[in-house]
Amino acid sequence: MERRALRKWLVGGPPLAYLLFFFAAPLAIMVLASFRVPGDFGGLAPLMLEKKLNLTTEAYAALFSDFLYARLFLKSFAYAALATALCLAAGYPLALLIARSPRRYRDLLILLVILPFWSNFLIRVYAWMTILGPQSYVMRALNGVLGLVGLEPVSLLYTPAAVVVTLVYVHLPFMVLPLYANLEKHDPALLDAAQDLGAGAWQRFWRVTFPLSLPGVYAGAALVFIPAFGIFAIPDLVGGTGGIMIGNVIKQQFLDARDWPFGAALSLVLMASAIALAGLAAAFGRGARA
Amino acid sequence: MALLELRGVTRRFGELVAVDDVTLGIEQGEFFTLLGPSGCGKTTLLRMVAGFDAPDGGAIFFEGRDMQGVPPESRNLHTVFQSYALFPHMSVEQNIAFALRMARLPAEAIRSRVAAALEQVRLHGLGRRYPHELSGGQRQRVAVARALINRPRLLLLDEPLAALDAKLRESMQSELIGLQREVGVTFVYVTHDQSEALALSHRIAVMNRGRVEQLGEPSAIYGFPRNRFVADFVGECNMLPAELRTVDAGQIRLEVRGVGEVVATHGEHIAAGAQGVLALRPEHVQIAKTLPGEHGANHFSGTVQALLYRGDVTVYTVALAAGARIQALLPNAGPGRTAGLEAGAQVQVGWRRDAGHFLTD
Repeated sequence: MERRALRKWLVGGPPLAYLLFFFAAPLAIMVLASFRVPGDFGGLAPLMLEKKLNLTTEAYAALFSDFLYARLFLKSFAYAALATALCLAAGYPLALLIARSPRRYRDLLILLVILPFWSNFLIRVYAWMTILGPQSYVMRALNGVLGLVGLEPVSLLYTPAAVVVTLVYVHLPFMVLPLYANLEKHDPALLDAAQDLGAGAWQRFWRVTFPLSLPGVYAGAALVFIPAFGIFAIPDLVGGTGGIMIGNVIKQQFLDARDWPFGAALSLVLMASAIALAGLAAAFGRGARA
Repeated sequence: MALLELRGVTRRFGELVAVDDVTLGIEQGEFFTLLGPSGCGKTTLLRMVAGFDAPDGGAIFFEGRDMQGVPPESRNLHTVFQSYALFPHMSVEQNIAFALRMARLPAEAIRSRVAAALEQVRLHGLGRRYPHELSGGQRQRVAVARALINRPRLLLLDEPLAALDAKLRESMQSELIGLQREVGVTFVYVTHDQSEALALSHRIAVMNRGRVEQLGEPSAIYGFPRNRFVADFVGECNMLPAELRTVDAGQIRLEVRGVGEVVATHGEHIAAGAQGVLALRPEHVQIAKTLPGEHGANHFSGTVQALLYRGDVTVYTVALAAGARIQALLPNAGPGRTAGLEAGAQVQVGWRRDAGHFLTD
């Protein structure tokens, strides 16, 4: 019995220690920081001041009193939600196609889906700056067509549209992989049964394949939405001034404004809302299954 | 015209001929079984009837219509799949209602018919359960109810009892027979289990390597197998190499290797000198210390080599004086029936003239 307990600790101990050290502890530091006072030249003011704890809820007060931040949260939510929806719309057919291809091709196709990960994230985003830039073939072709039908030429780079397009590109594999993992396990006999009982192709999809794939949809949506909600690099590079998201503000607070408590408060609210949304999705998912 | 007619149906997968020129007709109301070992083409044939696969040659007529190009969802027949293929995300009621919803029946009609179907397959009160909450037998009943709900003309059953344990299988067999009689729907049943086929069917087609080896009523298949494959596959059978000596009216004389001269029956036109086997069911072989009755035809002496106690019966392996080994089956009922028949005992075996069949192919 004792040996078993020991083995459990040997196996579970290191990752637990790792998480305590690099996740729980920093998180606690962040929570504490969000209640502290900013230092005169950035960073944090001393925790103890005249033998009293120097704590305040000012950061949260500022956050909730200014409608600007709520709007930024909503905007970030909208971008992330739109990117998630587009990832789902693009990723579902792809995952289904791969799951229904002959077994010997599936691994190759999945490899192609994750192939972009082999190049650096920033390089991929810079590539999109080129693609969305006014000199690219894509944009010139697009504006050429718009000109033919008598519309004004458009510019995509440094707009919210560029943010969403790049978010979709970067996060698409995170949607495809869980969907594929789910769809690949479906018993083909279920589709035969549905067809046998009179269901056409459309009905077979909506009544059998799609409901059975919902766990994959929720997993993929969470994997796309949560990182997209708090991202700052993409809006930084392709979003311009109109395309900033809450992640950019957090980054600004830490690096430019050097108001650490406010940055910490913003990131904690971001985390709390992401967790709340994930919990809501999970509850919704359970409801759909039961 | 028969309800379902197969005319020269052939299906090839590359080099392999999975179904080879199958022609047969299935009548309205029949319980018809395709029996054969795995890989004999019976499931391929069933899938072609259901419409999931198309023949390379020949034609399938159902309700008098050529089924070529008619998709499964448009055929007036349903399938009970081997694994049942119940929709795991739907309750029992929703599973059963599926075909009616596809047919866009009004909700009220669906409700009452689903309730009646649940009653019919004795699943009353389980309508709200999900497939994973059911036992194997209950799932099987849901699958049957789901396939019967919109009254198809034909029900295809692909080894529907294979996943159940032996005891349950037996009770489900009688349930299926009762249900088929009750609803009057034609059943085409696929199985590799010969006892199941014999118990359930009006007629059986024994298949091997894509071909129908024999088609007939269970008693004809078992009692008068047409060739070695059928004799061996359906039930147990002694197969003894033999040569035909003389053909008389109604009976033949064989020289059976390791046995001696045997009188038997034959169905086909055969001439003296033909090579083949003597097929003899173990339960037709009598065994005793000394056999009563007429000495003469088909009586041989030998030694008990081994015996296998099976509860209701005992199977004896007897080495005949001339060298062949014969299996004899004796019921264990009755006192002293098997007295003195232990291994090593000298015994006599014998069988009636009409018990043995001479098979040439």
